Amino acid sequence: MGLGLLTSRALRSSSRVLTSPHHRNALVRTIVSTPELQSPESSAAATQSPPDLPQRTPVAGARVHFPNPDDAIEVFVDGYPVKIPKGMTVLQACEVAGVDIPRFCYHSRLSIAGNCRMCLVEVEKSPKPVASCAMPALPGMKIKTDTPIAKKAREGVMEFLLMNHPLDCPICDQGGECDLQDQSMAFGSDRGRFTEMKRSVVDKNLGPLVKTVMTRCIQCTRCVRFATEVAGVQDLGMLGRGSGEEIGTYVEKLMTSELSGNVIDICPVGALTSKPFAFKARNWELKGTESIDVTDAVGSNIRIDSRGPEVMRILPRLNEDINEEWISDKTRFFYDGLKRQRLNDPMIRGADGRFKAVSWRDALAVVAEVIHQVKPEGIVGVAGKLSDAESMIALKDFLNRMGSNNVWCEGNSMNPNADLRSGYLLNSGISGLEKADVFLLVGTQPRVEAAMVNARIRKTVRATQAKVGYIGPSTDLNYDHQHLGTGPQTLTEIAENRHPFCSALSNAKNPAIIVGAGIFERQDKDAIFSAVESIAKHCNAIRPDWNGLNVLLLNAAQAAALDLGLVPESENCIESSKFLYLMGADDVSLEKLPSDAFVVYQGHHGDRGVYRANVILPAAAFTEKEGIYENTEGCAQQTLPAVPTVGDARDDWKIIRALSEVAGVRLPYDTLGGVRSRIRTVAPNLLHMDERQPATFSSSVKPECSDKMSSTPFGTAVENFYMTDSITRASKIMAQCSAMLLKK
Amino acid sequence: MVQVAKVIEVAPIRVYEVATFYSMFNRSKVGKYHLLVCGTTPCMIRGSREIEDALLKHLGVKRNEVTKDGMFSVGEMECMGCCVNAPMITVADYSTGSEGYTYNYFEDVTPKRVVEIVEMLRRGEKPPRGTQNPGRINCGPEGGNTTLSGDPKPPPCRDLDAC
Repeated sequence: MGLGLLTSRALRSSSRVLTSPHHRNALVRTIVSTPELQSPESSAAATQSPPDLPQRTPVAGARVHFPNPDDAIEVFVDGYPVKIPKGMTVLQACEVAGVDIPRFCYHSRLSIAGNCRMCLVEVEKSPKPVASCAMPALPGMKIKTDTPIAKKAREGVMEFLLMNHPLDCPICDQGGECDLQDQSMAFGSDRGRFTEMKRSVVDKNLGPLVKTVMTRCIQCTRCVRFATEVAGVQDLGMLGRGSGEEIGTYVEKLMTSELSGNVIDICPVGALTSKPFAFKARNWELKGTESIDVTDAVGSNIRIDSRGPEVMRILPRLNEDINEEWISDKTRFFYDGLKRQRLNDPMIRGADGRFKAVSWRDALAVVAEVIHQVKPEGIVGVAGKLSDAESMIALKDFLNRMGSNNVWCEGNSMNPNADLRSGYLLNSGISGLEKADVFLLVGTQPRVEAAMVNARIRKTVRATQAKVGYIGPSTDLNYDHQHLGTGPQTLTEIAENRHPFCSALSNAKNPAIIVGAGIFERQDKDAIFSAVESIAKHCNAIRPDWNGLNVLLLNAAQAAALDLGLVPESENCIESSKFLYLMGADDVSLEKLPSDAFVVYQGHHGDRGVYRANVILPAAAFTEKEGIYENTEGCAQQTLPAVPTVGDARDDWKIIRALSEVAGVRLPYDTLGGVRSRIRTVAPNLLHMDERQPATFSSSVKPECSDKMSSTPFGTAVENFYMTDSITRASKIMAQCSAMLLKK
Repeated sequence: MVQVAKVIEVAPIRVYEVATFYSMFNRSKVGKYHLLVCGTTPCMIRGSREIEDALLKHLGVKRNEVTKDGMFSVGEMECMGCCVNAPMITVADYSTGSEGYTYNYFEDVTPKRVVEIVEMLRRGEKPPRGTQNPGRINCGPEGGNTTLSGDPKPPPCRDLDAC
């Protein structure tokens, strides 16, 4: 991605005003006691500047964090004094001073390589220009970034870089957002002096997601460092030397990482580009919509780039607290599923078993008629894993008005623990995991369940050598971990302080215990949770300043569903159900459903739920509607419509609202603002956008559990990382990924 | 290389990186005598290309190929620091196994002289290492010393009192 792009994104994300254009929604914004947090730019730039120099804002809202005030040093960038902590590099000092240094190999989240030499600056008393990315700033250093020497040095570097770079910008997918293109406008010459043949490099096959044109590579090694450091797959390397140097895997092999798509973003040139997006569109034709991802419970911040009615690609947005600037491959590439198997029209299954398209009026009338013939106990509603908070509250309100309270969200099991928010949230927070020094993963494989949380754990393990203990089926976590056991047996041992890992846990300052949401589906989940709580008590994991007892959820809808109280009244309501309302629920087991039950499927994809449906009501996917989702750490975020809805589809909550009208139990809200006011009465935290609302009570007030744990080992909650919901199952790219990358 | 990676406990790609970077790691089979011609600028100016051509023509192989009898192979390498005696070749001698392994420089070579060296090696003789120019001693100039012939004068500013 281009530098300017990153800058604008970062600025936007930090100064996002959440009352948004939709004033009627009346979103709540809490008062923050530290005003610096609301405008980091101004507080960072408030370093005393002499009145004769114009005030400059730091690049990309770069924040200065002083771990120790004594370590502050002052350097001068182009005569402008700036205070920075000790250990910062010259380049970072320049960023704080508001000077953007051109760079290729330097990336703030990767280790420093210092091999592109584009960031050369002049430092007083230094005989040569210095590479600012690798040079630590020293007190009193006088850095000059715009002198003729610095410019000439960069021009020289640029000439060498362009020597072997092909002139294929017109057919390059990076064109328009290419760092080399941008910077050659500033430092490039209009002609080259190189008369020999340009070198060419054989393209590598890195799998179905990343397209390589290795001749364009400028050997910045960002992708190598990303793969090694962030993704944790040591596949890529720099091979050969001199003009034969190239990036590759040596032995031909695919890049088997769940984060591989990010190398497309960090590649400063067009060497690594998106394979599904290749030659599909130019980036300046696209309309960007800032939204969030719903394929897992992390809620990664994304930008949906669309052209007309089509989603063309998905890019990450910077959010330090959730996904930093990475997203998983599933998030990035599942978008082609939005174009396949969509439900366009309301349909009714005829007597011959075939669906017939009907009008909304007829479809709603049929549903309303059937629901009135069924006894209230027989009415059951299931919200799907991609449901937003608005549609879930509408579904619950509607079914309540029909006299039933059998409504839940799939993945949460029949008797979820919805009483205390701390019982189902990632209480440490995703960025809070960086403070932990010992991890205990219970029945969860974060690498496939929540790739961004796994990246955060890996970052912590790499930075602080934190210990990781794992209980569950043997799996490939991409960091060092001890496999303690496979089932509740080991958990009991740890809870009773009989396990060698206990000493590590009790010596830890900030132990983090992460329980997978796959446990929710087990019969003995209360016993497991009480064992985990006793472990947390032993190692003092729940304190006022640190809550290390975490639950890692699986689906985007789960947290909001529990906040809204979607808890079914009876545990076996499916067996006795006569009217089942599936709101995008595809993974709920319908085997025990009576054959005479009437099933309404409301959703956007013709997936598993449709096979049994009697009536289909087409709904909008998350790219087409405005909806609130709460992620696993309790942070509510909203999607925004990027593309129009398909066919005759409508927003989920609107369908239910219309159905309630036809059924004669009109729901009292007509606008999105109305639904959100209703949500505020149930779960006000869902309207605090983009702010994490931690659970207030810890679980210490819970009653003791006397159940016994069964000895069944923990299972895997996500079998196929690339196919977890109706959109990803419809995606061709995800199918290719599962076929090529998951085969052993 | 995978075995090496296992022994030193790193990812295989890290070993590939190092092995492909240094020309001293031979990733394919070489002859008993691996002849390395320096191709860096000083040697190139002094005619290393002709020397390589002469070797390749004499042995009838291409670069990085082994002769049919497995005796010789020719490769290129980077500057070995004998630029004063350029051009030079290095002979990595594997004929006596890893114990008797030698790595000798032959400097001031000419296309004619390298062929003689090759023939001496083929006969099992040990050609004299170092400069092949009879008019020079080590890296001294041809025909005896031209400078520093007398005693060196003391530096003029050492008399601190005079300053």
